[in-house]
Amino acid sequence: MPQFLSILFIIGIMLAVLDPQTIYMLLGKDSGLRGMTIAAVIGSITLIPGFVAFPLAAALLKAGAGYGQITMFITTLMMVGVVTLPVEIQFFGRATAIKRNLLALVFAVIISFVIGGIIS
Amino acid sequence: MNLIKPMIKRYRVCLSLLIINMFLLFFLPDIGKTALYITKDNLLEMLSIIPPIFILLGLLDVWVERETMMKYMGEHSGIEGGVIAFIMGSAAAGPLYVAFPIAGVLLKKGVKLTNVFIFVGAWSTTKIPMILFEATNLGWDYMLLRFVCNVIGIIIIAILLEKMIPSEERRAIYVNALNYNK
Repeated sequence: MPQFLSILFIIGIMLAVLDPQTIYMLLGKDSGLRGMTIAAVIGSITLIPGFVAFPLAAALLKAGAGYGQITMFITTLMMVGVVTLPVEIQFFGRATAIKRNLLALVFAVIISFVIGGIIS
Repeated sequence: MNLIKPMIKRYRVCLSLLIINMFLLFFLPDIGKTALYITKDNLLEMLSIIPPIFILLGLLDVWVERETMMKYMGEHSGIEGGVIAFIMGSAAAGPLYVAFPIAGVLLKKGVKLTNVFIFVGAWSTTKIPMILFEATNLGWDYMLLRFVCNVIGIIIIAILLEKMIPSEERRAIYVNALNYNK
């Protein structure tokens, strides 16, 4: 329970700082590889629920963000969880939890380049 | 007094975050306020999701025999076990951190690690309501393309991850699951 509560606080503060405009500024037009990296960082450390993330992603695409960056953002958002790592460690142990997140990150990079390459 | 000390220790991260939030409220009122609102919304959402999940967890724990679970999803369950794990994860609702306690029960029931990871992977990305929502927002082509990649990715991650875990660590994970009760 204390961990769940802490996670909720972190999410609250993070989302208040990273509002949609800020995210757009970071991932917007021609952000390229730097945008990819930022997308991965934001996606990994934040926990945005899907019903907020998908409309945001759609808006970003319309505003000119690349499919690669958006895919990176969505995939890391869902699969990589830095904030939820303490909970994951409780059940899988430190080493395994970290390995799972790293593999997910590698996968996110691959899928972003694949989808960014197919749709452009 | 003796009761309060361990409470403070248990909640120390949480309390420091609350204090940070108070500072924000004081120095950057806009951000502080938004942060508190989001925390409140998420807390309410979590409180509505967690009870049914925990009831489900309890039922799963009590009703489903370890032997049955092992037969269908255990070490020798083959592809079927993976398919069941995938469907279980995709049919779920709720954020990823709720999936870990359920994964804990699956481990307790002797479900194969690969299948547990498939379950977690499916829960994180291929939840049915979520992919329908994705399709309406980003288009069916995008959703289907990502879905296909994800299914392949989830399976590969599960298999690789299982291979990357040394056997003593694997034993520790199962022992931990058996002893976990909160």
